[in-house]
Amino acid sequence: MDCNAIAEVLMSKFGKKWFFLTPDYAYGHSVQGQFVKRLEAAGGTWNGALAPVGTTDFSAHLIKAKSYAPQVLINVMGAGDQVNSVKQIVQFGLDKQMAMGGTLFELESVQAVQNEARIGWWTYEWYWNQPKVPQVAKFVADIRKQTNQIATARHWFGYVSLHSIGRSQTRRRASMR
Amino acid sequence: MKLAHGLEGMKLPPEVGLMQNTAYFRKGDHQLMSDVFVGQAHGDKGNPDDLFEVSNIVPGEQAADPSKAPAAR
Repeated sequence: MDCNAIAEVLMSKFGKKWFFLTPDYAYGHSVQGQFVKRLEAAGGTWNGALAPVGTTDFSAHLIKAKSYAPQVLINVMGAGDQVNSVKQIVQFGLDKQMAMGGTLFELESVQAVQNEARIGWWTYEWYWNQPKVPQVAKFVADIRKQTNQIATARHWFGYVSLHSIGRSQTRRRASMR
Repeated sequence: MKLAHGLEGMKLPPEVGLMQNTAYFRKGDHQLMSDVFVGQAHGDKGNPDDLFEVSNIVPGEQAADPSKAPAAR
């Protein structure tokens, strides 16, 4: 879903030669596979590196990326691994040579990197700054009051899940009457 | 199963969905069709929580692959 939303943006803005930095497990393989399907359908080319979960030193993979000289580095890594990889991408100067993007670079992860590493094109599953949706401001204020933090997709997931379960049961009971 | 059936086609009101387009649970695979926020990360410009600029909001049904589940009966 996120892949479909961002792939066209990355191809049209930057080009169709991509390098994947992908975590070596089912999720990473799946996301990369979805990107590759769309990229190849558009005539693009790619190379990539699979990194085990928990990788702390990405230098070998980044050397490979630099050598391939893609227009876009697709960063599929997650959580702490993604934070480490993005920091090293900037330290290696790859951000000056290629665009970076992917499906997710969560707000919590962006907060965890230095200012100059807050880069790239991504999709978010939810974002707090929605001036056209007045109900969001109250939610953000309520989360701030409870946690003293900005609301993120993690808060929204929990909120939507609980409300959905409750509402689905009310709905089911109503349909049985 | 009862819970899953209860979700089928259920729309979330704005105060729950908290997004521009109406979020709903797709029949068949019960996947939540929610907006996808496409944009660019950026550094702190004065608000430490504002680190992403949304450039485009893609409705869930446009972003999602077709359901692989059999059609709901």
